[in-house]
Amino acid sequence: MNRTYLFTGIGAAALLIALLRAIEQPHVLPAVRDTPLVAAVPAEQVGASTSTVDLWTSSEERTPAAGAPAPENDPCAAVLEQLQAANARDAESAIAIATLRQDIARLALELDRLRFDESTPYGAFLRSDEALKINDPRALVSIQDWLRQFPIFLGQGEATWIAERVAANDWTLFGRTSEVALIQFLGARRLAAELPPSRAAELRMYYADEPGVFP
Amino acid sequence: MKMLFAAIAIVLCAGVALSEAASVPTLPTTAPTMKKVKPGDPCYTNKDLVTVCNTGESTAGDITIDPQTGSTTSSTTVEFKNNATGSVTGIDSNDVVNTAAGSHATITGTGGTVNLGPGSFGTITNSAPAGGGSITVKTGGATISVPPGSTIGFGG
Repeated sequence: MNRTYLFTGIGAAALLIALLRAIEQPHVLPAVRDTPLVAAVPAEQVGASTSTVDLWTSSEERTPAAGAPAPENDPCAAVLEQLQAANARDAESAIAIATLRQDIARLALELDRLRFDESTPYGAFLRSDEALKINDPRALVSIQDWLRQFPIFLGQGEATWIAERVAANDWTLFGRTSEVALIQFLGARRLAAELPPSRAAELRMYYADEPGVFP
Repeated sequence: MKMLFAAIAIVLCAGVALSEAASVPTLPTTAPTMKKVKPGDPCYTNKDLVTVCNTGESTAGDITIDPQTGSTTSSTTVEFKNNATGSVTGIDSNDVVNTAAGSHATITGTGGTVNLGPGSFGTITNSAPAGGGSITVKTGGATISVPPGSTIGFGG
């Protein structure tokens, strides 16, 4: 009686192990593997045209390894090849654009140094060490425009702060608008003392409905 | 004696006048004619039928329209402050739009002048019928005419 139970138990255990192994290997149970297991994913995470992800298919299966020979007459492989080539060109272009931007910034700096003498706020900035470190033509244009509207001599680090805001476009972290952010950064009292009286009066009137911005 | 009193009176009057002049406030006492349109504010149309919409969110800057009320014959001036984003419609031959660095302006009208500041972006459409006036765009020292029915974009 005990032997019968023992053999039955061993047999049941062997059957269970065999079944578990079969489930682990998808090719043994194609019907299970072919059942689409999909998960809803927000469209913005996977691209606007797709809203589900196949969780069975591994990334290796979806994207052939680089350098793997493409099957003949496979339109997907040809498109993938073109995509990879375009990505490579894109990366090269990004580097070229960054280099050109630096060149433009350097030339703009040189040109402006000839145009503005150092008795002007922008001219004085152009001759500072900070100007040489700002390699962004957009930031230089922005600083020039701010100094046109707020003709004061910038202190150490102030132009760099403006350049950082231009690059990050995060003015609203510091004020309601970029102008308010700049006024608060430079200091309304200092601006009132250093700006031409007519410009200070103009700002005072402009911000009359926003207490504390330019009292 | 009368002459002496007269001289003293003149000196006193001059002193009072001078002190009054010195105490005259530098601020204008009249209400501002300009309307400030902040990011998120509703669009604003003055009586010159120029409409300003400030659509700026992440890039924040005010847009101003002057005069605030005006009339159908007013010369309207619209200013895009630094980093402002928005649109202007209804400008005609005596109106002006100015843009500051970092601003993005979409402008539609039948005439007028657009002064695109350095580092600003603009799309200008002339909606006048054929044979109508041009919109003049001044940017980077150059002057360009936008003929009726045309749209021109400027960047950076």
